[in-house]
Formats: sequence, C-alpha cells, structure tokens
Amino acid sequence: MVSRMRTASPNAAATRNKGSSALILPAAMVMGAVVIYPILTTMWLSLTDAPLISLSSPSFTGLSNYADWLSNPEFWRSLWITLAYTFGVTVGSYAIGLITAMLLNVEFPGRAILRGLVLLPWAIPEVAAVMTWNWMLDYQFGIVNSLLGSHIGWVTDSAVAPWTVTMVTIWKQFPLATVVLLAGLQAIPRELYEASNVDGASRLQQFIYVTLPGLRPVNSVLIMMLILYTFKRISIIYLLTGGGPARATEILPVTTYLEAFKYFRLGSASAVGILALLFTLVITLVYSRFFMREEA
Amino acid sequence: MKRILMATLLIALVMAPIGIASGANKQIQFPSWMWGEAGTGDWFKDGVALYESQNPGVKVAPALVPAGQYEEKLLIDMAGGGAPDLAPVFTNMMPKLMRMGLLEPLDDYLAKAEWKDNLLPVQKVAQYKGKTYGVVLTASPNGLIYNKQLLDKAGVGVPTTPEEMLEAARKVKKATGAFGYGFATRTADVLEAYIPLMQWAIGFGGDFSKDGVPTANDPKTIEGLNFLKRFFDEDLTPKGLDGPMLRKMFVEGKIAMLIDGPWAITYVKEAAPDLYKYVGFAAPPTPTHAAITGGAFYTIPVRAKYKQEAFALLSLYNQPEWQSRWLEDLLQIPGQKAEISPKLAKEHPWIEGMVDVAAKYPAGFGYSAPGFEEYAGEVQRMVVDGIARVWGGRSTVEAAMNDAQQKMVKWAATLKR
Repeated sequence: MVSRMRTASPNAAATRNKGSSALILPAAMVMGAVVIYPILTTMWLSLTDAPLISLSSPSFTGLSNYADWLSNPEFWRSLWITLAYTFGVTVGSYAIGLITAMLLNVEFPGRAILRGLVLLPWAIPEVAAVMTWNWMLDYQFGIVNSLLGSHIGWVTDSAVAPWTVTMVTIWKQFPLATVVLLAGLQAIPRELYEASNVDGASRLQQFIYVTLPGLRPVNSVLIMMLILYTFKRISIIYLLTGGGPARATEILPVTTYLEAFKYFRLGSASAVGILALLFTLVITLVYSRFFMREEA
Repeated sequence: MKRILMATLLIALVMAPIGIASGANKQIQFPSWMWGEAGTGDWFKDGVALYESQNPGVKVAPALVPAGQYEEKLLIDMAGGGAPDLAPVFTNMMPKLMRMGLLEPLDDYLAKAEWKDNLLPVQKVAQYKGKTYGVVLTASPNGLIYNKQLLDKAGVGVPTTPEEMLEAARKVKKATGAFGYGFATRTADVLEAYIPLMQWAIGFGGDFSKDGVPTANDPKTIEGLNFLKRFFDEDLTPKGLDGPMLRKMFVEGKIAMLIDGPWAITYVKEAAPDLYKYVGFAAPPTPTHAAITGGAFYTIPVRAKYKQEAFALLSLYNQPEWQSRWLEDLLQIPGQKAEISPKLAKEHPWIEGMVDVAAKYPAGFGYSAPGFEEYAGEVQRMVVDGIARVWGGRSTVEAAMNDAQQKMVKWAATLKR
C-alpha cells in the first residue's frame, strides 16, 4: 500500500486534488456569497460617503471615514464600553456556567428537571426576555426595586445601566457555558478523581489539579464563542437602553446600527463596522495564539 | 429533448395564471402604520373600497407596518430599489425624504385639485426648493389633556400657567395619590424622551436651535427644562416610563395631566368610556402656549409605479365628506380646514379646545430643531443624552445643556449643508 502510494504518478495526485476542489466548490460559493461579498461591499462603502438611500452613486472619500472615527472620542469611549461589556459578560457567563455545570454533574433527585430549568434563559426568545427584564427593572413599578425596597434606576441611571445590561446578558448566555462545560466535565475520566482520592487530595485540590486541566480542551472553544457572541450582540442593549442613558451602554454594534439606520450614513457606519471587525480579529488572533501555545 | 420540452410546457402552464392574475390589475402599494388602528384604519379601508368600486382596473394593496418601525422599513425598502405607490409619512420624515430626492413633486397633480387651497398652513413643511412633495394628512397639536375628576377632587381648576400646573400637580398628588403630570423620562426611546423637553423649551420661548445655530443652553431653554425638572424632583411624575405607558396610566386614572395629542383622548374613549366625559383639552400652560404639532403627510415616491392612480386615491381622501369624517369620527384635525358642527361640539366638548389650540399655537413641526430638520434624530439624541444625566441625578440642567451645546456646535461644524 505504502509502495503504491509512493509510486503514484503526479497526474493521479492532480486528478485527486481537482476532485477535492470540485467537492468544496459549492460550500466555497455559498461562503463567498454570504460572507466574502458582504464584507468586500462593506469595505468599499466605508471608503465612500454613501447615505442609506441615494439615487446617485456615492463619492469615493478614501480613508476619511476611518480618520473621522479614529479621531472621535465617542468612538474610543464606545470601544472601551464594548471591551468592558465583553469581558464582564464572558467572565460572568463562564463562572456561572462552571458552577451550574459542576452542580449538574453530581447525581441527585430532580437533576433532569434542574437541567431543563438552567437551559431556559437560552431557550427564551431574546426580545421577549428583554421586554420582561425591562418591566422587572422598571424604576417606578418594577418587581426588582419592589423586592429590594430600593429606588435604583437600573436602566435610567448612567452609572448603573452598564452593570444592568451585563447582568442581563450573562443571564441569557450562561446556559451555553453550562452545556459545554458539563460535556467537558463528563469527559474527564473518573479514574483521575479516584486516584487523587487515594492520594489524599482535597476537593479544592481536585478542582485545581484535575477538573480545570480536564476542561482545557473545551475552554478554548467556549471562551472564544462567548467573546464573539458578546462582541456582536446588539439586541439586549438596544432594547433595554437603546445605548443610553447618555451613551453609557453604547457598544460598537449599537453605534453602527445608529449610524446606518437612524442617521442614514451608510459609509460612516460601514467604517465603524469594519473597525469593529478588525478589533474582533485582533482579539481572536491573540486568544488563538495564546491557547494554541497552551495546548502545545 | 422531449423531456425538456415537456418540462418547459409544464412550467409555462403553471406560470401562466400567475402572469394573468398579476397583469390584470394595476396594484397600488399602500403601506401605513394606520391600517391596524381602530377608526383610522376603517376610514382608510372605506376609502379604498370606494376607490376600487370607482376604478375597476385598479386594486389597492394595503400593508400594515408598525409605527415604531415605519420610517426604517420604508427607507430600507426604498434603499433596496423598491417603493410603494402611496406612502403616508410622519411630518419629521418629510425634510429628509425631500432632500434625498426620494419623493415625486406633486405640483402638476395639485394644479388640477380643487381642494388644494383648503390645506392647513403646515403644508409648507412639504415644500422644498419651490416644489411641493406631500399633502398634509393630519396635523394635530399637543395640548394639556386633563382628567377633570382628579382636578376637582384636588380642588383646582384647569391650569393656564406653569406655576398653576405645578401647584395643581402637587394638590392632585396630595388629595388623590395620583401623579399630577406624566411625561416621558425613559431615554431608551429618544424621540419619546425628547418631546416633553422640546415642549417645555419652546413653551418658555427657547428651543435647541435657531435658524440652524445650536441654542441648547439658551437661558429660556434652560428655564423651561428647569421648570419641568421640578415635577420630576417632587415625584409628581412617574419615572422611567415612555409615552404609551403614560397614556395607559392616564386611562387608568393614575395620572391627572399629560401634554399629548388628541390620540391620547381617542384612547381614553375606547379604553375607558366612563372617564371620557371628564377629559378636557387646553393649550399647554406654558408662557408661549406653543403646541408641538404632530402629524403626517401623503407622499408619492419618485420610484412609484402608479403615480396617477396613487394621486387619485389621495384626492379621494381629500374630498370634503372624507375630511369631515376624519374630524367627526376620528376626533383629529384633518389636513384641511374643517368646521365643527354644533352636534360634534356638544358630544365631544374637548374638540373645540383642540381646534382652538391648532389654530392659535401651532409650533414644533416634525419634532425638529429649526434649521436641523434633516438631522432631527441627531439633535434629539444629543439633547436626550444630556438630559439622561439630569434624570439620573448626575448633572444639573445647566451643565447638561452646556455640554449638549458644545457637542452640537462641534457636530454642526462638520455638516455639509
């Protein structure tokens, strides 16, 4: 077999490659149509003064949209809010996901029901969930203030609103972490825990030296997913605060949306979109490199 | 080859009826947020039925689009190369659509319309560079809408000055526990949060701009907003709510006064008929009494397919009997001057107050700052961003408006006008 492969003619290899190319062509065409083409169009638009609607062609303006945004303090503020929001939601979702996953990994009566309940936030449609939170967090009549006996402007106070949107997003997103981490926990061989018991390891030592290293394979994918899901998420913030109050929760996707669909500046909106894409790419690359090194 | 021929024949047979059906009638695409509204929707539908009976070759295709999404959906539809044939638009959309060149000039059509001279003065909003791009559909003013039962319980009359209104709100709260005056402070909805700010700014003789020059920190603007803040500080208004929720509370007798349009009273009529007879409409009790005038215009997009037919339908709605019906059935100001019959005045006493306010104090067309009509959304956002810090207890009105002024000046300098 080995000798036959070694002696295969270059023509046969070329034919095989052509066959493989033909097989991936449909998928490549779909990717090109739904991913590459929109990105290229957006890149082109970001170099123009295109409004959302125009009966005439937009003018080429070079990098002026980028220069405008990069010299605009509101952009940097929005980027900072986006990073803080992404960090907070990722850490919060992971932590709560890990706690619930560990809880669900233990056998106890009613575990199946609890699993279903934990997954509920993920299953509820986002708009319905946010509208419900909106009412619960209402300053005057909301149940949260009523139960706490407080008068907190959860979505109306610019110092509180960023924490509120982070909390609601964590609530919506942590079941994803739970499911992935639970799968990771169940893949850790029981023998490792039994061996550590024999060695006299405490629960904390088992967690640090068995559980956490055992979760490493799923962590790299999960954390990347949490970061990307949060970075691009718009509906929770837009419905809850509209990016306010006083722009306190205006993340980059909200800025992009407002530019395009409220102020109708498609060229300018495209530039923010591309900048956001670049920041996402940088985060992804840095994270991948770090984890690839860890894995190696 | 035979198979291909058979398949082609089959496809042709299947497609033929579709082609015949779509080719048989001209179809006027007519989106609106009003199709689903009780009363208003019926008025439009009755007009369509009459129009179709008079024009057998033409059908009207209504499409209901929620009011909150209407502007975006219409613009996105136009951006995608589509366009309805007849499109009602909110007053604040007119400047933008005209300047973008998306609307058909209606001067030639209007020249032949016998009703053109009866249109309300707000019709000027639809004029740009000497051409007319819309026909006013309705132009109802915001006024003081009050619950007389609650005012009577508090032993106060209908306020006519800011001080009287503040005192009335205090007494209502003390005597009944209801909120004296409700205004939107939920800043997630920028327009809803902006309307009361504009109302009190123009009510004190200020505004957020004058002839395209920002005036957010004008002393009169600040005076008006500071007065509004007194209702907020003294807990005389429910906090963190938007317009629709405030109307609901008014209907439930939990708020004594609103500054709102007649649609709020129509809502009372439908949802709380017992309360309806105690509801009144008066001029805003501010020094100038300036009343923000909300409304809508009929427009025909430049890319519309059936412009003649669309204008004929528009013209039907502008006939005197339809205009009277708009006033008498819907209790709103139609696009043309209309007389109130004694019967109507007796059945709905508040109507006279509304017509009086509409005639004497019309202002604030399209919720836009003067000179920034095309950029109304951005001005609203800058002002609301400032006031959000005031409602959050983190800024004074003066500091917030100074900040908004600085931002507006900087932003205005970048505009290509």
